[in-house]
Order: sequence, then structure tokens, then C-alpha cells
Amino acid sequence: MHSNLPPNPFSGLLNRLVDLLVIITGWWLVALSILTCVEMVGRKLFSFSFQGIDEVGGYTLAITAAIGFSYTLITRGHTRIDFLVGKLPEKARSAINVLAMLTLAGMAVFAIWRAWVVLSESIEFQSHSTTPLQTPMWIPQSLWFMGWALFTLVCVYLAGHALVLWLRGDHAAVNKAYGPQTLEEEIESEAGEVLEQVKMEQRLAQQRQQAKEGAA
Amino acid sequence: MIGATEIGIGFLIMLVLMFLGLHVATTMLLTAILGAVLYLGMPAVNAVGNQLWAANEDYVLLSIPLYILLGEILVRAGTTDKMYKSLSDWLNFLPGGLLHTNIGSSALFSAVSGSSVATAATISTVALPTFKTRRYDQRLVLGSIAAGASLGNLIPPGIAFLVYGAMTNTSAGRLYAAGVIPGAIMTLLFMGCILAICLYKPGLAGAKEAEPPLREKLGRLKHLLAPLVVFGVVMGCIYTGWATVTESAALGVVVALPIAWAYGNLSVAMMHDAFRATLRLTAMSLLILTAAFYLNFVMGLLGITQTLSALVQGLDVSPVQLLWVLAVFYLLLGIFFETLPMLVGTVPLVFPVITAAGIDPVFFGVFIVLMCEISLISPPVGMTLYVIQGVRGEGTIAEVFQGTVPFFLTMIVMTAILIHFPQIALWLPKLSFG
Repeated sequence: MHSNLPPNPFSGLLNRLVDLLVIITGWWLVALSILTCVEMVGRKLFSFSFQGIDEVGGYTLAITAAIGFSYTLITRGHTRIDFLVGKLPEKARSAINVLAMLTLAGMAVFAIWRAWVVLSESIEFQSHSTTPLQTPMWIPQSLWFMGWALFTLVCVYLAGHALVLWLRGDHAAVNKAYGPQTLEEEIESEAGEVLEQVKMEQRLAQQRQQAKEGAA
Repeated sequence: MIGATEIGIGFLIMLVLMFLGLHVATTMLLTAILGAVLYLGMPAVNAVGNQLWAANEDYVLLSIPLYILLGEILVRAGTTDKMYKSLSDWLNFLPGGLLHTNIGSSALFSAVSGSSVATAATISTVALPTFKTRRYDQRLVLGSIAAGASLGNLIPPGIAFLVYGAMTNTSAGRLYAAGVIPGAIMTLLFMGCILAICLYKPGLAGAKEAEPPLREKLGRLKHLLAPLVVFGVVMGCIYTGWATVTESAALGVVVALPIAWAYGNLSVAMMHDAFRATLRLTAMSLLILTAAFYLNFVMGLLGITQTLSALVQGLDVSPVQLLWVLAVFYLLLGIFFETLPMLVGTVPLVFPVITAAGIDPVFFGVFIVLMCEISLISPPVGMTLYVIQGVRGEGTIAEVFQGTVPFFLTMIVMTAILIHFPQIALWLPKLSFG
């Protein structure tokens, strides 16, 4: 993983936790897809249907997104317009990069505070969804809240690290860890393994070709 | 209700913050909170929590991670190289030879993959070695890959349509139906453009391939099957009303698994890589989208919709005039912006304007996605161009820029066609959904 967490045991733990959650969410998406197909076939052919797969799907998205936010932040994927940043001198760039992290962390803290209010009200008033499932809202909302809490934790941790680096005057380190991704990094993170696979296939095809020519 | 000046200032603040390089989501949320604090007071600010939950808990939007996952599985199934070879079997006879294969395979790949960076990088890696020995004009080779890679969002299932649909309450199924014909016309126009260039200057196209025996060609045809089957199943279910957009995305995921298995590339490690890529791309879109939902909410309370509608009705412009003005606006914005920020950042403001002018929301979805496609290949910022140059690793970026010019112009022609013949977008959704 191409993480920009500062190297220490806590980061290692955070990295593993986020990665584990991503994998679990992924398998859940696959499972939900299979359930959806079973439900579709059942509904069309045998007129039976699970109640509320769409409701669960909605909660799934909320939780998927909340977990994904942390992973994307760690791997520096959240979108920024880097047109101007790229053209500035090192010091100005590091100031903007620190500012970007601080504002993002500020927004996350604000969001988590308001998300907490939503969750605590659901608990206090024992809200249920107005659907056949009558889901107690605190169940999906706690998972969602924990996802946002993790995101906020990562945001604050990284913003703090960026600020410390900046106060030390280590602008190069700030830009390396918190600047928009360079082209190579972006290609690597969006297509890295796929490219390796393609290159391997090409090598194999070449070998086959050579073997064929050798035989001829 | 606040006036047009305040709206303009608010939009400007957001743009400036974006240009400064803050996270796009931060700038939107900040602008929204600023508006809420100044004009609405704390209740609107405190509504952030409920808005976040409402924005994220959405079954239709679950289709975003599912389509991305489906693409990530297919991309890792290891069919790209073979798909390229098979397409070239059938497109090679055209003047311009392999250049058409670039368009076709990029279009296929990008229709499946949610990332234009991944498309450009992968197709370049597959295609560029093939061109090494064949004396094609380098610029056209690069331009055709960039052009093909830009087609992804217009050809369903793309993420841009889902995002636009969610923001404007437009049916994603209708949008997908509306994108098909313009997507096909765009592909044909690109190929026509290559054809015209290579007929006019045959020297730009390289040496022709020896025609492979028909049996070999037919044998390889199965490699085109994977993307076509998935596309057929997913879109077929939507168009026939068999499944909702989210259900057919789930179906796509289930269909993609045996395909990856058939190519011998289904493994736990591969799935885990696909999950990571999926959550990354999903979260990138959703963080921005979540902020945009709250911005939309605040703008609704501020009566910005009414202000803008009144403004447009007062101007007395025809829909066609308005669309051309917007086209110019998006062309300029597209020089600096990537697809998603451009789409999400402008829709809350532009959508009330176009509805007031009597423009169909489904049609406008196709229009704005086309504008996003143009932004992908318009220099000097177009990300795909740099990716292609990065994979190429020789020559200059200027050659890539030059190569995209004919395709850029073709896209302008497409814009004109779309504006003046909106039926090409609206006919199919009408047929499917009434």
C-alpha cells in the first residue's frame, strides 16, 4: 500500500485496521451482489422476495463510503485541483498542503460532531426505519459513525503530522507526503497491478511466439 | 432568497478555494457552511449531520461501488491484451489500421473501468509496443488513445451519469439509455476522423498488418465476449425494466466473477486488490458528492434556485443559445478541472438555470457528461494526456497535445450535433421507459 502515514507502530496498526475494514467491506459487497441476484431471480420466477434488501443496500453504501474515506486519505486519493499548487515554489506549496490537511481535518471534526448528534438522537428516541424491516436506526448509524470517526482520526493524525513537519521547516517532507500525487504515483495507485499483469501477459505472448518460431 | 450577486460571490469563493488546492470536498462544504451561517443561522448548520446520513444512505448510489467493483474485476481478469488483438483483427482493413483499434479498445476498456487514468495507462501499455516497429505517426497514435479513453463516461455504465442523476433526482436508467446513441456516434466520429486524416495523408498510417487467417480471427473473437456479455447483461436488464440500476450492477459483479475465473485470474489476492481500488474510487466520488449534497440543501433553503430561474427567464434566451454559452463555459473550466469536480461543482448552480430554460434534465445529463469528456483531453491539464506520456516515457508532451487536436475538434462537432439534434439522446430513453 502506498500510504503516507508517518512511519511508526501506531501508523502500522492504523494501516492494517483500515486495510482489514476495506477487505471486509469488499467481501460484503460481493455477498450483497449475490443476494441481490438471488432475490431478483426469486422475484421474477418464483414470486418470493427478501424484504428490505434495498434498505440494507442503502446502509451498505453509507458504511462503504465512511470506511473508504480513510483508505483514500491514507493513499492520498482525495481529489484536489493541483493546477496552481504544482507551479508554486516549495515553501508556498508546503503552506497550501498543510492548510489543505488542516481544513480537511476541521471539516471532519465538524462532521463527526454532527454525526454523533444524529446517532445519539436515534438512540435516545429509539428511532426505527419506516419500512417492513423496522431497523433500529442505531445499528446502521453506529457502523456509519464509526467509519466517520476513523476518518476523523486519520485526518487529525495526518494534519498534525503535516503541521509538525511544517513547523520544523521540513517543506520537502510536507510536499512529499501531503502534496497532490505526482503523475507516477497516480498511475501506480490507479493502475499499478493491472499494468504489471498486462506486462506479464505481453512477456508470455512473446515467449509463445518465440517458441513457435523456434519450432518452425 | 438571496440575490444573483451573492450567488456569484459564493461560487467565486468556492472556485478560488478549489484553485488554491484545498480538497474539493472541503471547499464545497466550507462554502455551504458559510452560506448557512451568513443567511440561515445555526439550525441549517446543525442539519449537516442528517444531511450526511441522508446523502450516504442511498440504495441507488450503491450502484457506484458495484459498477466500480465489476470494472475492477474485469480489468484484472487479464483480457485487455487479447481484447486489443482481437479488435485489431476486424478493424485493420480500414485506412488508419491500428489507430481504429486504439479507439475501440479504449472505449471498451473505459466503459468497463471507472478510472480514466487506469484506462489511459493500460491501453497505452498494451498498444504502444505494437506501434514501435510500424512507422505510424506518433501524434495520431497518442491522440487516438486519449480520445478513446475519454469515451468511458458517455458509454454506460459510467459513474458520471450516476452522480448527475443523484444530484438532480434524474433517473439513472434514463440517463444510461440516453448515453448510448451519442456514445456510439462519438465513437464513429472518432473513427471517421482517423479515416479522413489517413485518406488525405496515407503516410501518417503505418505499415498494414498481414491479414491473419479467418480461423485465427474467429478463435480470438471470444476475447471480445467478456466485456460485451457484461455490457449486454447489465444494460439489457436496465432497458427492459427487469432490474434497477443497482440490481443490474450487482448482476454485473456476479457475472464478472466466472469470467475472471475462466481466464485463470480469479484469486483472493486479486479480489482484495479489486476491493482496495473499488473503495478508493468510490470514496473519492462520494466525499465530494456528500459535500455537494449539503451545498445543494443550503442552496435550496437560500432560494437560489428561484433567483437563478427568475434571472434566466428574464434574459429571454433560447435553449440552444443557453447551451452554447454553457458549452463555452465548460470548455474553459475543463482546461483546469477534472471530470468529477467540474460536474459536482457546477450542477447545483447550472441545473436550476437549464430547467428554467425548458431544457430536458436527461438531455442535459448527456450534454454535461460530454463536456466532462472534453475536459479530459483538453490541454494543458487533461490528466489522461500526461498518463499516456508517462507510460510512453520518450518524446515530449507536446506531441500528445498535437495528437489530440483533431479529436478535440471532433468533440466540438459532437457538441454541435447534440445541441441541435437533442433527439439522439432522448429517443432511446423514451422508447425504453415511455
